[in-house]
Amino acid sequence: MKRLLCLVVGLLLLVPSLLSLTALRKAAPPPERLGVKPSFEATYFTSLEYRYLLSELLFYDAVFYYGSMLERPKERPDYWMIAKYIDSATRLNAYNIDAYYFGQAVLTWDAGMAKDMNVILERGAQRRTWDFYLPFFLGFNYAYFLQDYQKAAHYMELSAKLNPRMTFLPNYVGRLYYEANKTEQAIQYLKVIYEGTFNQAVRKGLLMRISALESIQFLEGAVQKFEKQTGHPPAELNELVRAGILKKLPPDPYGGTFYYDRSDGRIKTTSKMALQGAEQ
Amino acid sequence: MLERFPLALATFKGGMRDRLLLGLCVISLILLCTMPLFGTFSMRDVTGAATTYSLSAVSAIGVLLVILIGAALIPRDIQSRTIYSIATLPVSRTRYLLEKYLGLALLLVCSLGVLGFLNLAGIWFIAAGHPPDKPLLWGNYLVYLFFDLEKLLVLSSVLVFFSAFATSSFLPMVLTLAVYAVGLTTEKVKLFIETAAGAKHVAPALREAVQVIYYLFPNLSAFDFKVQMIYALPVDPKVLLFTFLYGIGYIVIMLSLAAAAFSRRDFV
Repeated sequence: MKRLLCLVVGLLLLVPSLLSLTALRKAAPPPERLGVKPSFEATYFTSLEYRYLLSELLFYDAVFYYGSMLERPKERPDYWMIAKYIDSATRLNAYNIDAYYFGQAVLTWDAGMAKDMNVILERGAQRRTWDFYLPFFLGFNYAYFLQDYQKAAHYMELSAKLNPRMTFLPNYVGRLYYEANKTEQAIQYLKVIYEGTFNQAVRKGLLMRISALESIQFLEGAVQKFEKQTGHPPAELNELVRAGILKKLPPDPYGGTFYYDRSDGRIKTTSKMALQGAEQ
Repeated sequence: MLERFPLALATFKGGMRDRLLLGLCVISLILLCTMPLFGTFSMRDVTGAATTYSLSAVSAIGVLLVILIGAALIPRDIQSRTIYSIATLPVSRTRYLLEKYLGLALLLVCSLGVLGFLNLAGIWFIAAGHPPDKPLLWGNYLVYLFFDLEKLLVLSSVLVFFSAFATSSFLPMVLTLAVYAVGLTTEKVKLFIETAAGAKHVAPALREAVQVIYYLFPNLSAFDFKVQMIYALPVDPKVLLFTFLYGIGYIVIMLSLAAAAFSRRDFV
């Protein structure tokens, strides 16, 4: 009887406290859950023989955090902390393709950290000498974000050599030398990334970006048609609808509105193709 | 053949009576079931992530086996005074110590064999469903398992060395854990202080101390071939040969020192 009583008391203490604790921890903001990462040196020296496992765990922490932030589009993810996690994960295990992949998918686009990501990618490319993805990422970053077409072509050539099955790459390299259409480059690149990843949260984010870029490409075509017809660029995108070139403007999957920037003649969106608060 | 080593056989059977293998099978099954779960969070390399997890788990379980089973082997005989009855047998103290070690080694071989086989099946299954970019080299798995076993045998020899002095299992357990931690860190620290950045930040006296520690303690990082298995990297046969010889050498030295200390020990 006493034992049963003790068990009941224990359960009465445990169950409500566990439920309350779970709710409290769930309510904590995601950056708090990501936590403060100790320095790389501390992580490296204390990892014993589990540095590869630790590398995976750091990557998982960062990807779960990013996944939770996708559910809160009004909050800006802590990209600097994500970058630190990716940096440590790839220094603990220079072969960890997941970390490179995730960093490339998130840090370059959303956080504008293409230069920092290239440092990480170059480190990885030295180890994963068989992998065409890392030179491909490097090439893309140099072309699209940093406008260094010489380096971009070098890495794309390397990537094409490592994976001859990617038949579009040689053409792509050629186009890079001539500074070809950037929107098309971006769509082709993102489709490769999309096909190569299994993570649903990241796939969702990529699909959203591909869809936004395809809309931009579509609008660019319509603007060119308008220019041919009228001999001058449109003042705003609604002119394309009024001229009968478009039935209506496509929606921005990020929730923003597309507009025509006359200063550089490019189609842009008020969402900047990022979760709200993120910098381009 | 084992009949020629009755104490080793008794140690092995004692471990079996502890339902060690049954426990291991349960752990292996848990490991097998959680492997795909760990892998599913990966973006590209499901097999790599699952293999990283499972190899790390196998290594951790191996260390736990050495510490939990090995630490009690000799102190238990001393505490329960079984050592007195053994002393009446025509068996030298050195032979007693070596047979205890042999018994523990047999237990580790069997345990790691079971764990390794089930783990291999799990990796094979995941690799079949999610073929990695680079096909796995199954020979590397044997290399990993063999050298993980050698690492455990080195650690066991350190444990036996400490047990030769101790009266309870606590001290050998703690000291072996310390050697395990130092053994896996010493190479990293040595390599760090040999870089330009390390030389700048570390005092000369500390640099000397690190060098001494590196040569004194076993360099357990050398036995770690996980990355070669996970990413199908080539293995240098020369590295394998020297690692194997280094391990054997360390075991021989530790057991010799343990035997020397144990022979001089006064049990009265």
